[in-house]
Amino acid sequence: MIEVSELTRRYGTLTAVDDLSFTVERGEVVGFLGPNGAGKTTTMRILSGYLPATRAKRLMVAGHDVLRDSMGVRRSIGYLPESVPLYPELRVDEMMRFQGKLHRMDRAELKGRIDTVLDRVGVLDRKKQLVGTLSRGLKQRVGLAVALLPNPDVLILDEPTSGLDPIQRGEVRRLISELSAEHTVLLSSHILAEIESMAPRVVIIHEGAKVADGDQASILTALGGGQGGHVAVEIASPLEASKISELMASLPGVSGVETGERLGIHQSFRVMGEGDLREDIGALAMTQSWALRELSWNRPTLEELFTRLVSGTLGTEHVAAAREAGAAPTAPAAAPAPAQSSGLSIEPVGQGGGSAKPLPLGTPGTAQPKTIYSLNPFDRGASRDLSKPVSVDAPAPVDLSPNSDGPEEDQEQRP
Amino acid sequence: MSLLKRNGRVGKLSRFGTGLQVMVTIVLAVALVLIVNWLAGRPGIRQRFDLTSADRNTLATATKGTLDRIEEPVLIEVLQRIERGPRQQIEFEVMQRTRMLLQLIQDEAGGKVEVKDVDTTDVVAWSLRQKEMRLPGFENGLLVSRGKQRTFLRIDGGLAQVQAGRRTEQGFIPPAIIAFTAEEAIVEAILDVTRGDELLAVFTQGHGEPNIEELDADAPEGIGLVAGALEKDGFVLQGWSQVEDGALPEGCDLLVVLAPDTQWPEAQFTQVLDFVERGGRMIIVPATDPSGLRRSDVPDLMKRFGLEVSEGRLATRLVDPRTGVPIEGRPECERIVASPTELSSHVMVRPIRDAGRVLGFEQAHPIRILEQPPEGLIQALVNVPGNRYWLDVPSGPEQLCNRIYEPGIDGQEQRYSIAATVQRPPMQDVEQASGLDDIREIRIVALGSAHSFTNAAMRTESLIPAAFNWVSDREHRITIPPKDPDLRMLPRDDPEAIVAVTNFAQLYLPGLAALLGLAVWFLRSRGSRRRPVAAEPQSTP
Amino acid sequence: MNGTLVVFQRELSGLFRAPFTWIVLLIVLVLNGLIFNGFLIGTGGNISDALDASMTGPLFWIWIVFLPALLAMRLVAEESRSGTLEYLLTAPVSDFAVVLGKFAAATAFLAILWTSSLLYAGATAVIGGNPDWPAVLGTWMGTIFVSALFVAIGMLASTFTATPLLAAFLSMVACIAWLAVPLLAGQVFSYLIPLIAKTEEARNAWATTVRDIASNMDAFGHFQRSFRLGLLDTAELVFFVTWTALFLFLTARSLEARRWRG
Repeated sequence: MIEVSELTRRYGTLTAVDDLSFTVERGEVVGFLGPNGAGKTTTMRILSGYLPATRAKRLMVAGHDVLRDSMGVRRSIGYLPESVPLYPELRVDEMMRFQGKLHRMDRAELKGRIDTVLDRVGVLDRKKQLVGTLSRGLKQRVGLAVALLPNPDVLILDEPTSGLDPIQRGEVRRLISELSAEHTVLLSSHILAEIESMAPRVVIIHEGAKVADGDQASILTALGGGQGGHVAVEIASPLEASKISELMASLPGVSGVETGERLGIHQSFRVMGEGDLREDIGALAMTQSWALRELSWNRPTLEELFTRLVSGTLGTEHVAAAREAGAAPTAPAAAPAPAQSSGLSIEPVGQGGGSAKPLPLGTPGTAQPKTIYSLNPFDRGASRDLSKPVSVDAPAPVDLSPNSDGPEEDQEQRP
Repeated sequence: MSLLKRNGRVGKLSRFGTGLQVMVTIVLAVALVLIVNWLAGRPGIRQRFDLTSADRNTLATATKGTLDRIEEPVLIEVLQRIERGPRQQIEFEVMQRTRMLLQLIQDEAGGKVEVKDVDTTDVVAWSLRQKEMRLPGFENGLLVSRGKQRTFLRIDGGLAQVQAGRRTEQGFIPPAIIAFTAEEAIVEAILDVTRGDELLAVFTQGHGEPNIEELDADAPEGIGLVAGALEKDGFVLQGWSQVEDGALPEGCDLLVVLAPDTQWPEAQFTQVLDFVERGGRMIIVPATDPSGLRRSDVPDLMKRFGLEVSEGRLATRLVDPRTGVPIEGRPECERIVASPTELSSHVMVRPIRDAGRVLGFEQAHPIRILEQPPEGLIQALVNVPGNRYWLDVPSGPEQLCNRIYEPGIDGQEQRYSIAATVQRPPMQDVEQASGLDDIREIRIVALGSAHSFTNAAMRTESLIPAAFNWVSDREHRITIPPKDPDLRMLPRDDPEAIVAVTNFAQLYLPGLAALLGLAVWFLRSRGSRRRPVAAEPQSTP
Repeated sequence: MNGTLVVFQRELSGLFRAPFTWIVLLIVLVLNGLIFNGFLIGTGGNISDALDASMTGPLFWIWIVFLPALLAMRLVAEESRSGTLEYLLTAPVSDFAVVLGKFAAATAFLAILWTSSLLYAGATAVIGGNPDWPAVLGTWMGTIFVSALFVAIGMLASTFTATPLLAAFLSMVACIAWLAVPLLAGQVFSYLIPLIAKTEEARNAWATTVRDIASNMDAFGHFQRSFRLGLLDTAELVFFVTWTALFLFLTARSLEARRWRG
């Protein structure tokens, strides 16, 4: 249904989308994952015909060539931009009627269709309410209803859950899962938890380029998820820490042991290796009669991988070191364009490990902040919409230690 | 629209290239607009529809005709400066209307009339212009010119008729425009300056008339000055004698019979009569000498057109102020000075009368109107009263006027006329004889005094150029009805009316808008505020 | 065409659903009514003068500078900011249809404002006055053409920024600039011409050329010379229509360029 081949889009000297290729089959739900500025919105805008591509070998949406038959594409997609553009002075049903007229829908057909769609997204009772008075979550649903109205083959949803509280998010998530039965859905998010729960297949892009594509398990494997686990151990023992770690390292399957902090009589360790090593370590502790306070297996989640991916620290050592040190991961030298230190931030939320504050990533060369484009030289960046929703993401249980004390405080926090 | 997208696909064009392409597109689009505008302004394509009931924006047919006939370009300069004062508003309005009219004229003339604004801030150039036009100071108006010929049209009496502001018991009544006369004024001015299309004036020769080939411009008795003035006005003078030249020259526009004192051959008389009767133009002047007048064909010719010239000449009743004895037998007896009140309102003499100047004659034969023609009009131009003049009639056939008062011979008339015009339809319905083809009519100026043609007379006030212009129909060839300002007033008798209208404009209409606005606001907000909303969907996890 | 109509309907109804519009409407009606009444009473009941003052007087030109800017701000910059422009431009209607629909809605709104003068004329007719209807209608039509031109100019200017107030300001400056073209040309060239032309004749020729071009661009003059006088002149009509079309075209291009530049 969607075929993107070698798509490149530049804003001036800056490459927002770099040689991106992927396909989405009919009935698939594909999550588009990447940090802010990774090129998700740009790609979606190109697919919806809003932005022209700088270069593309092939761009097909619902059987229409985006470059040649933009009208055909527009007729057969439902596109919901992140800002959920709705006319605040219209009532919900008026907004729907307008959409219907734009899509040249039959008047009689439209009437029934509006109710069906509103019912489907669960805002039928708000039919007569002014859009401007709707809450953020309701607006999102109405936006979805507007996109769904012409019954498009393809739904392109840009950050459909952004700005929603967890409950609303859950509902939208459910709704999208239901929609996948009839529509091909391409949705984007910078929140992995959303993608994980909604889209069986994930395309991760970073700095405009695709870094991973596939279902979650295969991504995990492909990114070396099997290698990423570790067992956290806290032991009280009269032995020296180095001695303990030596003992643990001698266990079969253990590839490395890191010595952590000493808390009172307890010493923490991190044991890296293949698979679940808890039993082996437990047995060792028993034989050595160590007082074991903690023994837990931390498997890497997609979230973690993703975070490491975008921060350029896929190597386990870095992450572990960072964790232990409680400091921000240092910027890898491999980053491409050091000239631009954008202070990009990620919000790791959901079960994978959210933090009240975004993780500052000193990753240079990542994409610019998203702007509503403007020709005005004074307006660049400033046009970031104030009317856009403020993130209301609730702080989730922390798995990855917060790094808020890091030297690079988030400069580009989303409003 | 798809241009940029194609670029996107090809991907070879840089930002610069795209920018260039956009610029080219813009330039092309602007060029297209300019071309279309230029085309739309072409005279053949441009159409105007006058929506006003008073046809304020439509040129009179006569104007269009005149503009069609212009052959050489005419320049109209607009002199406009805001002059503070009670007339500021009016002058501005008149000039605006005039500008609009000029626009129409310019478009209608298709390039033959050029209109331009005079830079009134250029004081030096303007003062030169002012001196040249003999204007007392700055005045708003138009300067119509072609080469050296120019006419200035002022607002009052030219472009508009303005009623001066005046104080009454009710208070000051501001000046008001009574009518816009600019169209006529401009067209006449254009006619004035474009009369370069030469007219052939044929002078009869060989029977006592002054020789047109040998004119004297210096001696007081010569007629060189007249000839010069006529030539400047665009007349070509040519002599004609039937005996030598045969038929009247082709294209003769007007005939001048200037004081012949012997009889013409029969054929010449017939030709002259024929020319005039078919709608020709003639200036006829009797010989000064009564016997010569008697011998010539002038009395006969005049009689054919309802005029009678007396053999006697007018003399002034002069009295020696010291002795109280009437003065007789002296040349000054035959000097006649017609005061403005003695001039008629005929267009030939009206400028002199209106200016309050006098008109002098010498040795003038009175011309009497025998009868008015059934159609047309004979008008006396100068009427001098009988109580101030007497008729000096020669006592016998061979006698001359002796300037001696002879009560028995004095005419009984109350008034003597020295000049007259005849204007009537042609007597013979035949092909146009004259080159002045618009209006076929006979025009004759009969002037009692040949002396008026002399250099001496030309150095003072003279009728001759005016006579030539009138007889050749060059003055006031058109009449364009003035446009009234088209006043549309509320009925004055109903004071309630104005109150009703002002209330409507000031209260009801804004009030209605306010009410509608409130109604819309109320209706819009009602639906979402009051309607009970079913269970909050968010409440379910 | 269908798209234009749909957008037009929505924009116009959207305008009339906003309190902003009604406030503008009220202010315009009150001030125009004042002018009309002032002239009606001042001239002792001269209907033509009063109508002329309310339809084509200085106030009209002030509105012509302000209102298109405000409308364009609402229709382009605010939508661009709130994202609804993105919605419209990804809807299955062409960009030009969107521009045209918005333009038509703004022009229609102004046309409704100017209709107030027709209502005044109607009121005078009801109580026995006799307005020169064809001329009044012609002038009214002219005011709509002028409005259309300035709406197009304002829309073009407001596509250059997504900040509404800046857009309104730019539009206003553009409208004023367009009105001041003849004046500006005269001023600028009075300094420039002596640099180009050495002889007096050449200077005069240049001055004439500049004046001709400037007077050709002079919307005020074009209106004063035709519609205001009750004269329907095809050349003036073409002037307004073609320049309006050009600015609409450029507006569509400019919207497109914004996408291109991102």
